[in-house]
Amino acid sequence: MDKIIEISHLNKKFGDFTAIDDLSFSLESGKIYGIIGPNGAGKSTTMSLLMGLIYPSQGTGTVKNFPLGSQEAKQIMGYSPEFPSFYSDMNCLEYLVYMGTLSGLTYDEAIERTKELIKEFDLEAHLFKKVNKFSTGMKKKVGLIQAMIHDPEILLLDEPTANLDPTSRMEIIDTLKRLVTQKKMTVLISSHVLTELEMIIDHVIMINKGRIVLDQPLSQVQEVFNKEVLLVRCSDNQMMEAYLAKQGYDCSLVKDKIRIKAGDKNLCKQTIVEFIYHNHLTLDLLQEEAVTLENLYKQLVEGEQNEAHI
Amino acid sequence: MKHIFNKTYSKMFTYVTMPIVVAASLFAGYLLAGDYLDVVTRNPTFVYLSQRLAVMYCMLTFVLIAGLCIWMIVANTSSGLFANELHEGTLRLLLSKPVSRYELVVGKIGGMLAGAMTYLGISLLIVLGIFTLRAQPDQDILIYLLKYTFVFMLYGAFVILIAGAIGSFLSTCFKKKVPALLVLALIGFLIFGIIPIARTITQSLGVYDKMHLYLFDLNYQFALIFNSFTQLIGQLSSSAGQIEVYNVFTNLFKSVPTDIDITLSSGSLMVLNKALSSVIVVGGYGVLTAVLYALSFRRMKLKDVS
Repeated sequence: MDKIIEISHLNKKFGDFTAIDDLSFSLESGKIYGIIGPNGAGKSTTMSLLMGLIYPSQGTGTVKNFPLGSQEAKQIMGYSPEFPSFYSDMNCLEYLVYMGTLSGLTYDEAIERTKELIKEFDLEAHLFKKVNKFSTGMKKKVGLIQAMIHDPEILLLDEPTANLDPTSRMEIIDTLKRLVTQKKMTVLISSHVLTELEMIIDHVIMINKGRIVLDQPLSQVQEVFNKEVLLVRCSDNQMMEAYLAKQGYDCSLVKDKIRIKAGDKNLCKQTIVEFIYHNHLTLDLLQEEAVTLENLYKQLVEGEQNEAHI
Repeated sequence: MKHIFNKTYSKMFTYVTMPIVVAASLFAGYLLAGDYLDVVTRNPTFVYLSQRLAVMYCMLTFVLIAGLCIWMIVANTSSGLFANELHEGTLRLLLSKPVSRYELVVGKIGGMLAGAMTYLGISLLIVLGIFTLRAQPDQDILIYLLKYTFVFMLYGAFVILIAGAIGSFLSTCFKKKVPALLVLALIGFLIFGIIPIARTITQSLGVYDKMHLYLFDLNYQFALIFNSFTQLIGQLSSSAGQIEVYNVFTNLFKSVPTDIDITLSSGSLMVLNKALSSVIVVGGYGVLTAVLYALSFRRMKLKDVS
């Protein structure tokens, strides 16, 4: 697969504060990447660097072999920030046509594309209203439309569903999925709504304190992290936990479930079942923990933060 | 770049600034016509009439048109050129498009300059139009004033360039429009308010020349630039009274001791105030303007837009 974006040892400092610390990754063409991390991790800063809105303190990057921030790079990229801002004197149509012409479309092409995308995002009734009077959800949609108006090869979406109600979020996610699949775009999307992100991404990049913590395809992540963890609940969790710990298993009782990092899941399951049988306990739950982005995030990011506190 | 230019240009014509400029121009045209009608009844010579009108037209243009109106418009637009977009967050999406920093700066500054020149042209057109309609002057007088109009366009362009440079630079320094606008408003207030008053006081106390206050007299310096352009038509001269009023705003002339016979017959002799060289003043402001535009470009080129 072609690498469409490559960044190498990017650093960004704002005064004494290091926002991005030795960031290196590459994005392959046609895939959807999710970038996740806590607030202040550097997700938006990373996107700003890729768009050339801010300059790296060190390091380099290319977009299809064009330098970051160059005209050629921006020509094939579309960007939707977390809080898009619009001109107070323009209505929706005027604004989108203006952004379309800035993207290199002719006036007529910009109008055509605007009408197509307005229809996709169901904003037809608001075409002639001032954009800055729109609701948050509608502004997000306009932000996405202006990013996609020139059919870019790469889309950078910073929290496209943040602060939206569930209905609006699903609408946007569904429309995005459809359009991105149709056009085979490369997408880098950041979101705190990890359950939604899981539905659409192929690859996860986890970032914390400006550094990459994880950079793997989602399928591999699920395979690797899924190997080990079992969840158990029985009529005497404490007894079970003590027994498993004695057997050498790394386990912890979280609320009403025991979480076990089992090297050999089958052997562990056998051990559990035997214990239940011999001690006349009731087994309520025995399952392999599904690796969700949320769990992964808790493990890798919050776990790191907890270690730092210790 | 042309899209940014067009947007900046069209945004300058608002429901507030346009009526103010039109009203000021109508007023100036009315005053000019009034002066013509007042003098023409006394059967003056062409030279006297044309010179009198020229001084009046210069005063109205220097103070009202190219002074207050144009300064106000350019200050208002240039101070928010970049600061507004930064503050409102629209600059992020603008720069996410294949628009270079160079195109952004040139498009915005170009649009602002073109808009201000359009205002200047409309304003002078209205002044001449009202004058013509009300006074119905002779063709020779009209042609004479048209020559001055052309010269005023050149001077106005220079003022627009200077004010635009200061405003654009300040707009790259501040994150909001208001501080930049306040600085420009203060400069305008100094030029058209404080300095003429302060000069009158210090001159009457004999302190003005002694302390070389002309070095800080922005009013006088702008008047020297103005005079450099009007001299293309000819040196201004008129009645002592009219020149004195003109001199309050410009300090372009000073009276000199002469032969008692001349003093008794004409009241006083006014000569051009050459405390500063107009070439140096024009050159100095020209260099300052170029430097400020260059600095504006450099600041926007290197700015992190986050």
